[in-house]
Amino acid sequence: DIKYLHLLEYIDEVETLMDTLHPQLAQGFLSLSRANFASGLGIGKKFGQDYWDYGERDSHVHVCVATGEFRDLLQEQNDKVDEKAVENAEAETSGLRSRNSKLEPKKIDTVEAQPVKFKNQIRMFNGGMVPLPLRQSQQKFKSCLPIVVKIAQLRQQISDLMDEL
Amino acid sequence: MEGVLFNIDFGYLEGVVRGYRNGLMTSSQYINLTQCDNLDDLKLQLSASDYAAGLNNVPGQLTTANIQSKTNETLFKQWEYLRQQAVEPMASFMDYISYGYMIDNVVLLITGTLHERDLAEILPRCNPLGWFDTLPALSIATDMESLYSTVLVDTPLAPFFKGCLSISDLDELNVEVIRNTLYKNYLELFHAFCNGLADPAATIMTRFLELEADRRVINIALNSFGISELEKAEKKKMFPDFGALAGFAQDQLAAAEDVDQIRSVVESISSYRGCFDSDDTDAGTSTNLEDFFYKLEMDYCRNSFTQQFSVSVVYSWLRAKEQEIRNITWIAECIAQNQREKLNNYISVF
Repeated sequence: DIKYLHLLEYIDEVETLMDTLHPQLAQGFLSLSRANFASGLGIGKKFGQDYWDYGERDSHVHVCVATGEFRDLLQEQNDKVDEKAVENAEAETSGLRSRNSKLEPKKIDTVEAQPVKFKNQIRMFNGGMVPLPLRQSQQKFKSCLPIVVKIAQLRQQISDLMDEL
Repeated sequence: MEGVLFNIDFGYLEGVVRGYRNGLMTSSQYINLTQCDNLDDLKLQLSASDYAAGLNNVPGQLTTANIQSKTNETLFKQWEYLRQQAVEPMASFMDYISYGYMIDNVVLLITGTLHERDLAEILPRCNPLGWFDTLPALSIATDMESLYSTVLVDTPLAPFFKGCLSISDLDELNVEVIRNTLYKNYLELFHAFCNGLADPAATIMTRFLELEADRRVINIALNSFGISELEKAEKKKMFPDFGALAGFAQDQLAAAEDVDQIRSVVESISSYRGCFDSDDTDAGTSTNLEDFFYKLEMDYCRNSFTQQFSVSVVYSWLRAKEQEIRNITWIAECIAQNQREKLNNYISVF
C-alpha cells in the first residue's frame, strides 16, 4: 500500500512539474520567434542551425538522473571569475588606503587569470551581440533544464516502482 | 525636370514596382490571417496574394520554415525581374541595395568555416539577393588579409574593407565586428551615392539611410552589453558617421553601460521619443524598440510612394515586402505555437 502511495505521489509530482515546464518552453519558443522577427538578420535568416558550431565544445551542464544532480559548469566558472575580480578590486583598494595613511603598501598577490574553458553558447550567434529576446529565450530554456532532470528522475523512480508492484 | 526625362528609361520599372506595391497586404487581409486556425488555413488565405504560386508547390507538410522560404522565393523573383530591366543609374542603385545582403552572406560563410560546417550545407542558406560568383571561395577563410587579397578584392565589396584587414584572429566576436564595420563603410558609401541622385530620390534615400544608421548604432550599443572584450573605441568604429545620432550622441552611446543611459541619449532626438516605452511587459515579447523603428521605416515607405519619378520606390517596395514576409512568418509561428494572444504583434504597412 505504501508503494502505491509513493507511486501516486511521484505521478502527482511529475504532473506538477510538467505544468511548470510547458509554459517555460512555450515562452522560450515565443521569445525565439520574436528574436527572429526583430533580428534584422535579413529575410530568411533565423537564429538557428545555420550558426551552430560543429567543432568540439565542452559540455556546460553536468547531470545525473539517478541522483537528480544538476550542475551548470558555465555558471560556476563565471561565479569564480566574478569572485576573483572582487578580490582583486578589494586588494587594490586596501593598497590605496595604505598609501593614504603613509604606511608601506602591501604587496598584492595578483591572481593570474584562469583560462576560460566554457563559453556562453549564445556567442555562436553574432559573437554574442544578439537582441534581448534571444537572451530571454536562452534563459527560459536554461530554466527548464533542472525541471527536465527532476522529471527524468521521477520517471525512473516510477518505472522502478511499477516493476516492484 | 526629372519628370520629363525619367519615364524614358525608368517609366516601365516604376510602373512594375507600383504594381508590386499594390500587391502588398492591407490591414484587413492581415486580420483575416490572424483568424486562421492552422497553417493550411493560412495558406488558403494567402492564395489571394502574390505568394499563391509559391505556396502551392510546398512539398510535404506545411511548416513555418516552408512558408518563409516560399515567400522569400517570390520576393527574389520579383527583384530579379526588376534588376534585369534596370539601366543606369537605377542598376547601380539596385546593386548598392544588394551589397548589404552580400555582406551578410560573406559573414555567414566565414562563420560557417569557423564552426567547421560543410560548405555544401551553408551555401544554399545564403540570401539570393546577395549572391556573387566567388562566394563559395570564401571557405578558405583563415584571416582577413588573405581572404581579401585572394577572393574579395575583385568583388563589389572590396571598397568596404577599410578598417577590417587588421583583424587577424577570426573568432565569433571579431567576425561580428567585421560585419558591423563592413556595413558601416557600405552605408557611408551608399549615402554618398544617394546624395548624387536627383531629388526627390536623394532626399527620400537620405532619410531611409539615416534611420538605418541610427538603428544600427542603437542596436550595437544595446546588444554589446555583457561583451567585456569590446571596448568603447572599437564600438565607436562600427558606428556610421552620419544620422541623427552622429557626433556627441554616438560618443555617449559607445560609453553607455546600461539601458537608461542609452534611453536618455536616444530620446533626446525628438523623432525617437517614446522608442523605449514598453507596452508589453511580458518577457517574451519586449521588443518595442525594434517595433518602433520598423513602424517608422514603414511610414517612410508609405510616404515615398506619394512621390513620382524617383528610383527610391524600389527601395521602399523592397523594405515593405520584407516587413510583410516578417509579419506573415510571425503570424504563422503564433498559429503553430498556439500563442493566439500574441498574433497581433505585427506591423501593417497599408
